[in-house]
Amino acid sequence: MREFDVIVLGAGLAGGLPAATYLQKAGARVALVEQGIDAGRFYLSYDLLPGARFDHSPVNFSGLSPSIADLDLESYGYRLRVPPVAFATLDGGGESAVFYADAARTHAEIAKYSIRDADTFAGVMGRLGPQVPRLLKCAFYTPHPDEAAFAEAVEISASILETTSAELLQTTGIELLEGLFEADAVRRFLTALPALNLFGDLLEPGQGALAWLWSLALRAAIAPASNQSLVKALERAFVSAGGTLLRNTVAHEIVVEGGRCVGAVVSPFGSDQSETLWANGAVISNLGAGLTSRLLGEHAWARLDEWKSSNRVLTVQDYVLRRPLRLPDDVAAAPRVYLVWDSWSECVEWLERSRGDDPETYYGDVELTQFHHLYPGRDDRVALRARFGTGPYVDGDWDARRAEFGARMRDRLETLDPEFGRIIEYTNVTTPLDFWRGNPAATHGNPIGGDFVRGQWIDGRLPYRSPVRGLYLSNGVWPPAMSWLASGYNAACVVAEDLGIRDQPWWTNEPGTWLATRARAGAAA
Amino acid sequence: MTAGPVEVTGNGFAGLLDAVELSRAGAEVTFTEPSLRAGGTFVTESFLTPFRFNLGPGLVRRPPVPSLRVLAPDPLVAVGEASLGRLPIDLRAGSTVAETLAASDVDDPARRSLLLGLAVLLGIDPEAAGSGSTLAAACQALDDLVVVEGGNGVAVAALVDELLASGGHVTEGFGGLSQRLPSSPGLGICRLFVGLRRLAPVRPAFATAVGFGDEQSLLARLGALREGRLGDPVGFVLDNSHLDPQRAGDILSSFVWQGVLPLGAGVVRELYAEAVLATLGIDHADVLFRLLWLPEETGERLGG
Repeated sequence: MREFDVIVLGAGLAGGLPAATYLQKAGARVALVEQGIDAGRFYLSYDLLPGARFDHSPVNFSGLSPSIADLDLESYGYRLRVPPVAFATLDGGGESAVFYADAARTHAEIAKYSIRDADTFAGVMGRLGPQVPRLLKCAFYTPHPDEAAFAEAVEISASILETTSAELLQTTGIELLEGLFEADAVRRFLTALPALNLFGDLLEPGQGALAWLWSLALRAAIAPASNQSLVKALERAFVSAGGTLLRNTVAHEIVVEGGRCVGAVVSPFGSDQSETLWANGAVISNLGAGLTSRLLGEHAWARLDEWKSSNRVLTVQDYVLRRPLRLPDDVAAAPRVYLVWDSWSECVEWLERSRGDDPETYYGDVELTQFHHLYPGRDDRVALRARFGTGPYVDGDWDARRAEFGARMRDRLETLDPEFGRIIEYTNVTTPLDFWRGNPAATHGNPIGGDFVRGQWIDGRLPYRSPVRGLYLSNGVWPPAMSWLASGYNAACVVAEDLGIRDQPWWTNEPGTWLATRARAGAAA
Repeated sequence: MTAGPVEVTGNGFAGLLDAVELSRAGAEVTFTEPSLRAGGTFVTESFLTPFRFNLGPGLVRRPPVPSLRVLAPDPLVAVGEASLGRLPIDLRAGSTVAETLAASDVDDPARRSLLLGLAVLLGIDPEAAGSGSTLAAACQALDDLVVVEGGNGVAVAALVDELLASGGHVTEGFGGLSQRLPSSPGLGICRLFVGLRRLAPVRPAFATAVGFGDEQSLLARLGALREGRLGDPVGFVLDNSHLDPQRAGDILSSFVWQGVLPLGAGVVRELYAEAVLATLGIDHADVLFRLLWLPEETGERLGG
C-alpha cells in the first residue's frame, strides 16, 4: 500500500505538472500519475523528420509565470530568450504589419495605415506595460472565481483603456476596436491574435473587450532547447524534490470514502493489475478525464450538465518543406505569421460565424509557425505549421474532412507562394478528433478545456475546490491553456492553503517580472 | 566507490546507462544530451498522434532496468510459412552468414531462411564480412530479445528519473537539430510508422517478413537493392500492439514497417510509402497517420 499527501492525476503542463511540483517543493509527499511516458503531452517537441523540429504547441508564454523563479527552473536547464519580432500579420491583398519587441518599430508599422492608430496603440501598450504584473496576478494567477480580484482586473483594464469599469463591462471586443482604431487594416491585424489564442469571445460584452486587452499582456518567448524543455525542467524539479512520478500509469477510479476523496486506483499501461494509491490530503484531477466528471456527476454537481466544450477546436497541418515559404521580407522574419481577413467586415462576420456550427470558420484566421526561426538548422528541410480554427467540433466525421482540410490549406498557401506544392517533402493533418484520440481530456478535441460562452468565462468557470471534500480540479477552471502554468499554480495555492503549507519563503514571485527583467537585460546588452 | 563530479555526454542509451552506473557508484553526475531526447535510438515518439512508435528497433536486448515491464514475443520472426521461436541457437561462426550456416550444418531451407531473415531484422547484412559472428552471438541470446511495454522511451525515462532522484542533473536539446548519417553507398533500414483506425492485420510473429519468402528471394532482393533497383518493398511488419492506445468505441492500432533500402538512393517518400501500404493491403481510408524515415534519417545501416 502506497500512501501520499497529495495525488495528482494527469501531468499536463497547464495543471497537474506545476501543481505537483509546487506542492512537493512545499513539503507534501506527492504522487503524479501520468498515462504517457512524458508529462506535458500537449507541450512536447519532436523532429517529424530529422532536421525538422516541431512543438506540439508552438507558443511559449512561460516567461510570464512566477513558476520559473519560484521553482528555480533555470537550475533544471530551462532557458528562454525574447525574440526581436513577436509576430506578423498578412492579408490576401498583401497588406501586412510586423509587431516588434521594440515599440518604436511597431509604431512605424502601424503608422503605415494610420498615424493616429499607431499613437493609440503605443498609448495602450505604454499604459499596459507597468500594469502587466498586477493585471496578470488579478486575471490569471488567482484561483477564480474571486470577485475582488476580477473587479481589480477590470479596474486596471479600464484605466489602461481610459474608460470606466462599468462601461468596459458593456463593451464587446468589436466595439472596443472600432472605438480605438480608425484603419480597417489595423483593426484586423489586432484581432488576429485574440481570435485564435482565445481568452474569451470577442463578441460578448465585457468579456470581448477584456479578452482583447489581456491578450496584449502576453509576451511570447523562445526556448532554444525546444518548448518541451519547459516540461522537462518541471519534471526534473518535481523528481529532484523527491516527488513520485508514475509514468505510463493509467488512473481508473477516484476513491471516495465517507464523502471525502481519499485516493485513486491506478495500473501500469497495458496491465490488468491495479493498485490503490491513498491520499491523506488531496487528490487533484482533470475535469476532462471521464472518471472525474463521472464522479462529480454522481455528486449532483448540476453545473457539469451545462458545461460546454465543443466550440473551440483547432486543426493543425504540419509541413516539412524543402525551403522556407516565400513571404514579404519583414513578415518572413517572424516566428509566427497570421493570415487574416481581407476586410474588417469580413473579420466581424467570421467572428459571428465562429460562434455557430459552420465549418467554414476554419479558413478565416490562420497561424503559421515558422519553426526554422525557433530552431535554426538545415535550410533544405524547413518545418512549417498552419494552425487554424477556432471553430466547432461539428461531429465525429473528421477523418473524412482530413483530405479536404489539407487541400484547402495547401491552396491558400499557394496563393502566397505559387511553388508551395512543389517544395513539400511531407505533410500531415491533425484534426480535433485526433486531439481527442490522443488525449481524451481534450474533450471534443478542445485542448484548453471548456468554451467561453456566456456564464463560462473567468467569473463563471468551475472552482478549484470541487463539491467532494479533498478533490480539486486542475482544469475546467480559469485560466485555460498551457504555457503560463497558471491553473496549476492556482490549484497548488488552494491545496497548499487547505493543507497549511502555503507560506513558503520561495513561493513569493510575481507574474510578469521574470521575463521583463530578462527583456530589459537583453535590450541593455 | 567513485566520487566527485562526472560529466557524461549523449552516446545513446549506453551513455545514459553509464551515467546511472556512475551515479549508483556515488558520483555527482551531470548528463548532457545534445539531441532532443536522451537515449539515442531508444526513443518512443507520439508525434502529434494518439499512437506511440519506437523510432529505433522495437526488439531490443533486455535493458538492465529492474522496474521495467517487458514482453517476450514468440515467435520472433516469420519468413514464408516458417517461424522462429525464442530458444537460443548454437552456431559455429564464420565470416559471413552463409559461411556460418555452412559451418553449422544448417541445411533445412526453412531454417536457413529464418536465420537470414533474423539477420536482416537485426540490422545484419548477411553478405558483409563479420556478419556471421554477429548473427551467431545474437542467436545465443534469442531469449534475451524483448519488447518494452509502453515503448523503449519508458526505459529511458526510468533511468533519467533514477539519475535525478539520486541528485544527478540532466539537460537535453541544446545541441541543435538531429543530424543523421550523410548519404553513402550501401543498404540501410527505413521505418514507416503507420496509425490505423481499425485493428492492424494480425501477423504470425512479432516481425513478419514481406517481399521475400525464402533464402533465394531474400538474397535476390538484397542484390537488386544494392544495384539501386527498388522493385517491390522488402522488409518486416513489426507488431506494435504493446504500444497501442486503448480507447473505448474507437478502435486504433498501429504497426511499424522496417524496410531495407539503398542509402542515398533518392527514394521518393510518398511513392515508397504508397507501395508498402498497397503491398500490405491497407486501405487509405483506414490510415490516420503515416510517416517514413529513410535510412539516412534512421541512421541505421545494414552492416556486419
